[in-house]
Amino acid sequence: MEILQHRSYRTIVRKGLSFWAESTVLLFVSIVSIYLYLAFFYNQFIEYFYQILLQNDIKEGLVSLDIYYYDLMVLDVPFVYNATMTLFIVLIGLVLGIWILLKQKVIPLNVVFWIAFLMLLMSIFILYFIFFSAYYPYDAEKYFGLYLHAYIGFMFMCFVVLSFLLALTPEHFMRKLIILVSTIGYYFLYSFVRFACTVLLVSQVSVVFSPFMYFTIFYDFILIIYVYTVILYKDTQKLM
Amino acid sequence: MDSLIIIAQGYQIFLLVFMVSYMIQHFIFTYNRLYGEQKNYYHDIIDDELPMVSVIVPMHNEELVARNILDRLVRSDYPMQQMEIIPINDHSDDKTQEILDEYAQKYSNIVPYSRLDNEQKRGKTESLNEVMAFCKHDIIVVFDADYMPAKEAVKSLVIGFKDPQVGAVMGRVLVHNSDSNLLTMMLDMERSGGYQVGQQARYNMDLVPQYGGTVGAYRRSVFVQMGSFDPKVLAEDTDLTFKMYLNGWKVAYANKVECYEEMPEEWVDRARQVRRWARGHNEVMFKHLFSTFKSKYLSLKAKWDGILLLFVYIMPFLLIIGIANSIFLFFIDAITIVSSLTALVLILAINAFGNFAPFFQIAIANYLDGRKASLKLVPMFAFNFILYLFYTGLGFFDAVTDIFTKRDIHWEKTKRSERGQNER
Repeated sequence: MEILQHRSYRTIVRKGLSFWAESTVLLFVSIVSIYLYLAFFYNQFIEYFYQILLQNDIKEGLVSLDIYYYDLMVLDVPFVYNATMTLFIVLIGLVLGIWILLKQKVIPLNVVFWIAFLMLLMSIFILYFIFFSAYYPYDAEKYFGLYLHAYIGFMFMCFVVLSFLLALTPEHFMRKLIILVSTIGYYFLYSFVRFACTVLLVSQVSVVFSPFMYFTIFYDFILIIYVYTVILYKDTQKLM
Repeated sequence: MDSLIIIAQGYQIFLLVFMVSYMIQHFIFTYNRLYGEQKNYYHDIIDDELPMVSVIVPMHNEELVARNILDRLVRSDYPMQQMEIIPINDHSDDKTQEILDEYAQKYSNIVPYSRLDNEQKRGKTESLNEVMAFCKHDIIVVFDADYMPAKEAVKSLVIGFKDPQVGAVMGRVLVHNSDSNLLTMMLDMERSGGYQVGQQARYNMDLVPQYGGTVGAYRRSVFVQMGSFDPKVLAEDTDLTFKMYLNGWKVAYANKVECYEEMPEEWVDRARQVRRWARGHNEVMFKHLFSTFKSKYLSLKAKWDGILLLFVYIMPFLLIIGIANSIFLFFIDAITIVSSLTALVLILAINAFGNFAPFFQIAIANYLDGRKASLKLVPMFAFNFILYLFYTGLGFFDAVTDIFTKRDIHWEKTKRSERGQNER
């Protein structure tokens, strides 16, 4: 009969490849995937997106940008600058919203603070555009250059972190590899959707969304956390 | 303007280096806990010469939980004739004193200590300092009133003092009311990350495991020699931890000595608790940072761990500045160099505050504990980030104000529920 270790000193015995060997292979897969994204997938997507916009009578030019030494295309869309009064009304709405959020007792405080933080960020950006919109230093080319640099860099770091974290788990290596590749695939699709949303928001709704979409990139990391916990959730069976 | 931009960009890089250091540290901890050799506490010592001990339980309005902890202590497997139990009634205005008198009549080794004089300042630090003159024995074991020590807890903690280098020992804290609501479930998981992985890995690697102020024990002689608890410091436990290390003593960690506590069931109470911890911890940081750098007793790796530990509650404040700084850089078109880095700083920060265990540490700790269902909650920790950021930031300001104004510090008791009476 197998005697279970007390949880206080329970450890895991690795089978198969060592941690470093697994990390190296998974890291290699991450690097290759980012290479494919830069060299192939992104431009394929943007061309497809461009065709959809053309079919909907949104006729914008394409501009080539140097992102991490690869030529990536972005849409040269004009930003929508809203009237000061419109921004002011939205700002009042946001301030009121924050006040109501902090006063109400239904939504838990941690979620309240998180929503209030996003609303506060938006309020700061609106304030900027009310008073300094003439000084906003970005056009589409410059903004999407910054956005893509940040997003692809961020995406790559997510894959690196996930590679190391997957190597840490006692799961079978092939399964880890499949999970990594699926997560990367899903992330790529998600990145296209997010990028398309950003383009549409700044070109059809308001330029205020440009800093907002940039500063909320980091929260996409929840996907990585979710994938990781699901793997461990499955693995706990082995401890029972 | 150019120099301002350089400073702002330099700050982002400084923040990034700091955050990456924390993440690497926690990754090493997690790896060590999963695959490394685990340093066993002194459970295997078979010794019939158990020392005399004084068990202290500070209480302020603890009528809901007082009976429970006293019952558990008298049922302990430690020989009753070798253990005096000193519940301290610290200015209670409920039925705590009546309960203590009842138990004192029933058990000869329960010796209540009353602090009812209005001129005496109320607080855990003051109570513990004052009762030192009243205790008869050198080994002091401390439990909070809402704790539920197991039968063998006192014996297991005390065994650690067979090692003459050990000045304090610490057991593992688990959450009793984890099934109350989402908050307590998450706090249970946070606790698990901190103890199951953080504390045990620190102990394995001869770093700086902490004395946590409860479910722990220390040598009275050493404690008195080091000047007792500083009433100007709210986190007396962290203060004692660093005093121990800076005077050449070790803190042993007993992961198997498990003890249940009650955690706040409302977010507001939790936020206040985090703020109080941040305040106390930062006071300790101001007090011991320089001495930790130049300590002759700590190894280089222990110094590094100690410094990161001291800085842990200042990081949220630095991060708030980092967020404001990155917005500033964005609007003056100077963010290009650090654009990816800024996002990364924020990623690394996610889940890093609270019990200061990143998400993977919490996940692995709960995995080792075999808690299948709770693992699904790990992504929820991302929603705590801003709340903790705000309240630990406030705690930092409290600590700075304490240092400059030298104001009196008042202990704010965490709200209790009636669950303390339930057996587990």
